Amino acid sequence: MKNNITGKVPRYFEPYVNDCFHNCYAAVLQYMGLNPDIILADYLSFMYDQANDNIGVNYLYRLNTSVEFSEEELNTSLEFVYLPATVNFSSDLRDLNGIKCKNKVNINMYVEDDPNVAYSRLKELIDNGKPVITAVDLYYMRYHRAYMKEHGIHCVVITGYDEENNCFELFDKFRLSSSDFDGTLPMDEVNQGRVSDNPLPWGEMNKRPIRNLWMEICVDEAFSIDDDKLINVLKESYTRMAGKRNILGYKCGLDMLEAFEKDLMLKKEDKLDLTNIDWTRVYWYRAYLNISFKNIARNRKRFMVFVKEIDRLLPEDMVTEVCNCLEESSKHWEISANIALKMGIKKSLDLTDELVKHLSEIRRQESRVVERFEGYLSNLV
Amino acid sequence: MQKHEIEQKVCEAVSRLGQYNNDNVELDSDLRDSYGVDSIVLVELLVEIEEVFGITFDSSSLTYETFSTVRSIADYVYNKLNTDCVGIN
Repeated sequence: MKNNITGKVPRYFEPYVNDCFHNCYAAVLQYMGLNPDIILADYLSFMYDQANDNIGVNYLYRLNTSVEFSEEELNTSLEFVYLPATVNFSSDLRDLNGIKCKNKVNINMYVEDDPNVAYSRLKELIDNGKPVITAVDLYYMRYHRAYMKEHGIHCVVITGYDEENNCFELFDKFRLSSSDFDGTLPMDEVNQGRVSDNPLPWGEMNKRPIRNLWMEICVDEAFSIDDDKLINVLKESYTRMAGKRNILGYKCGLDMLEAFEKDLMLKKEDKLDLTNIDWTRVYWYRAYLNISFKNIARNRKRFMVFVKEIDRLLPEDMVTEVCNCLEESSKHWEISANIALKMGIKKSLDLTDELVKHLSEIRRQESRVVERFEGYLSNLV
Repeated sequence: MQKHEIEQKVCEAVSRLGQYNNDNVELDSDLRDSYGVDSIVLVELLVEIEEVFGITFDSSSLTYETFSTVRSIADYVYNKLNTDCVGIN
């Protein structure tokens, strides 16, 4: 048997997309006639966990050893999306139309340790005209430079299967990780990627098994986007940036960014010796901060795109100023990412002042955004 | 130092650190598209160039927008070396 919907699914990519998962969600949302720039618009925020040195936007970036998340963890970012807790497909009792929350787009995350069950569901979805967003280990993806070299969880969209030739039709357009594939791959290889234990590079015992993780996007006929919900994205962003709401138990916003800057300066004053093979500390600058700052830079760009999408609801001068501030902020987050990387490469904290200078400029730009939101929202009441 | 010497040294660094097509590095080819110089490799490249020429890149310049080709890096280094010389004189 074979079937495919390959020609119908948009090959989405935007450089401001959150991650490879969202890049696949966006392709399927477009296929469903929904606008990913609205549906996947996450709130503007900044989080900092001082105890563990983790940062993030609407959740903290940290090492995960599982692909399963709780409902609370999954629902901190998006106004228009509901993600139930990850469940085992075989034991899930929900209706297969998958809609738990009628006024939001539902993204159901399934794991399934029986590859035959996972494959049967994949076929069923494609036969019903639904592309399958699935996680894989890049180690088994022959089109990627990580093939047979490095493990890492990644997300692709499968649009067809061909049992005569034992292959899947799929695409991976997440160019931020050098992915640009659109074609067929042997089923055996993709399936290996789907069931991989996905060992992590630090320590032989650490792994993040993929467990055939896949996502199904469902939306009720009653779902709609109204102006109140659109404005609520601004309201919630203002609330978080102004430090008026805790997320997952953590305070957010500009004050936390300032606290983060101060702690960076303290680290410098502590004269941490990065050359003394302090691998954890070097890793923190070179990889963790570099990647996290880039993620935040993309969030600022994404939020700017969202503001432009809803510009008919906002004063023109506010749209212009907010977008300029976000553009500038995003640029400084990018530069900060490269400074952190440089500090890690050189194993030197000498650039801390430069880094903090850019973070302070970010805080100045984003304070202006918060002020504009505050003024606008106060006039709505 | 002559401009062409700087360009040659930058080409050599790109040739060492680039991820593909490293045999014939051209001055005006896009570093990302032509040689696989992603954002991480770009910073590694700039750190190496700092060491080779004894200069420091301004932190605000650490972006693709500023350095997308060998020529853009070589021009920066050339100007930096000359500016520093003028400063000393």
